[in-house]
Amino acid sequence: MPFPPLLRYVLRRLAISCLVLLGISLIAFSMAYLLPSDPVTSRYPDITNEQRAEIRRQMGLDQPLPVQYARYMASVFQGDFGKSLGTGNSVAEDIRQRLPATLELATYGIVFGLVFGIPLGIVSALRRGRMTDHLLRVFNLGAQSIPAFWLGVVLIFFLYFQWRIAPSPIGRLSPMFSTPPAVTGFLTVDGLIAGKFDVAWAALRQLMLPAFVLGLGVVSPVARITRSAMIESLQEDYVTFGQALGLGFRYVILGDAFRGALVPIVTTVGFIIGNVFAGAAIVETVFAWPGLGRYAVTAITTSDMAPVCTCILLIASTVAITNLLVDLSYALIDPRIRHEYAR
Amino acid sequence: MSADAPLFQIDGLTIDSIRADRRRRIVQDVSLCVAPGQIYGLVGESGSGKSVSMMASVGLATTGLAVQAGTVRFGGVVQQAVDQRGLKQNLSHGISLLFQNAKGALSPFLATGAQVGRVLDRQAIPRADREARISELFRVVGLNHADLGGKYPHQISGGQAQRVAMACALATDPKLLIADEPTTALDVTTEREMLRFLKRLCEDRGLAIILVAHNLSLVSEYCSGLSILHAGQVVEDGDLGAIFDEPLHPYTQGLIAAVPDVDEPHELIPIAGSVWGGSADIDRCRFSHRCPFAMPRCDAGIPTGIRTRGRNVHCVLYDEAAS
Ligand code: SF4
Repeated sequence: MPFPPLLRYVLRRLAISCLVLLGISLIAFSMAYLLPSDPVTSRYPDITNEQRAEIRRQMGLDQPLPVQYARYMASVFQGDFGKSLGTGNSVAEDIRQRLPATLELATYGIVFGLVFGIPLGIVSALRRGRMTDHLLRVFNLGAQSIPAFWLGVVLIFFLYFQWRIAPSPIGRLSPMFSTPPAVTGFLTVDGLIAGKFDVAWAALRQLMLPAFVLGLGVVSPVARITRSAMIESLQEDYVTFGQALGLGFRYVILGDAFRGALVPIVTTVGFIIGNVFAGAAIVETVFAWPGLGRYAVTAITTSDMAPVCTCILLIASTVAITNLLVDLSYALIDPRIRHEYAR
Repeated sequence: MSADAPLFQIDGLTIDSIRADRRRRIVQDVSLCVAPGQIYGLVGESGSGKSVSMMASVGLATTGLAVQAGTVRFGGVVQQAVDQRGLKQNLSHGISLLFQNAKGALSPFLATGAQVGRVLDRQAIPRADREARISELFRVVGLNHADLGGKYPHQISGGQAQRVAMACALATDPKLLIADEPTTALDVTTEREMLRFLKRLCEDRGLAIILVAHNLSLVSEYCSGLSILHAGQVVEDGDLGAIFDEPLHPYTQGLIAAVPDVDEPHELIPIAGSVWGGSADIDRCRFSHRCPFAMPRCDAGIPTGIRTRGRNVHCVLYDEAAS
């Protein structure tokens, strides 16, 4: 009965994550508070000092830091993340609108990266030191050294302006189509659910370039870790013994050797997911993608502190949850770790 | 040597290791011959090339090793050792292996029952019979499937792991089992049990076994034929009784003199000097730097095998005796 102890492990990890998030919220909030720029001045540059003091008092900015933080956290726990000065909406509403766009883009990018990176790494490891391996490594190095913004602009220039293969880079869906009713928030999926295949296809076409640019940054680190982890696990005795038993590729290479390599691969993918969200800001800007990355960049450049704090919290939560999922996946991958956790 | 047609025969196997552009001949012209149902011992100090030869003879030479020459004959078919891919075909078609590190040899990701099961899946076994076959194999190796079948390798003992590995090996229905130091990691009692069990398998199923070991007394107890390897060369091989009664090669003499009591397990490092001492050149008797009888002639070339008194001996001392 390994489950109850495993559940205990999960709960313990969740509790620790909550503490970490609390700490991050404090840091994020203090940073916003200590920044030299003044949100009131940057919003209303032409007001008198009295007016400014009045606005600050109304917004609670005249209170000491601990009081402000306590008020902020109290409202956060009620689901109120404050108001964006830029959009005039509540931050929660802004994020609700933009999160699906980023999630869809990131999902496609990561899936693209894994679908290409993992097989590349496996082939490289199996053909280590041969021509195929060298070619793949050169390709990897290339993919890694191309900056995303440059690649995005070049792709748009050739594939859209020159050859008209790609649709115009104007966000998630061209205005010719009406957005399907939101179920998952992923336009490609919602389009299918609504039975509007032309919409799903159009959304997929919009996604192709930005997801490719985002995913290319995932391919090389995934391929690299897959290659090195596979080279190591291919030398394990169980791989030799599996071959000695005449077990085929499916069992020995994919079943055992790849599974043996999976822990470092999953760890790396966990790290990369954080990077992908950071990279999304650039890609979203280049492709006019109405996602969170652009929202955060705009908020930072206009000292719009409520969205900035919320975005930091959101990213920190994503990282914390990813880490927890990565750790839990170890237990799925390796029974030795599962029994370790369950103790 | 047995009068039967050989089951498994290695001829002139030669292997180079290539590491950082340095080429070394680690196996030089090794031959051996195993009859059906025979337990054959392959003895040498660690690093003498015995494991490497065995792995290469079934197509599992690791990267960094280059098989240069030699043939392998199994079940009447002769294959070039250079064709490692081809040799691999013998695995699971009559040849199976056991390793020293049984726990590491079992997949850490599967319960033991499932590991035996997936070997069986290579044969078309009706689903209904599958469980029964697994239990039967567990029973043959002296384990209880109900108790151990659901456990993972890290949850069982080394001896149990070696038995599970054996069940996997037997699931391929082999005629030859190459056991590479199968008991070295086990304690003395378990080791005895295991070897007695292997011997019984031989008798019951007509299974031939190559027992790779660095422990001469162990081999002497269970084998009928013997090859002794030193620095990648066979120094003496043939009938175990003949060799033990009257060892001819200076290395064998040293080894047997150093076995105090055949019933006591004994490590095999009785002779001063290292296996790979002396210069790394190839064409000489590679024992000359440790040999009390060494003479200039010994470094003139590789001593050819001389057939005399029930064995082959590779030493210039017996040149005249033969001719
Ligand atoms: S050939 Fe020479 S060196 Fe080698 S064992 Fe015989 S006597 Fe010793």
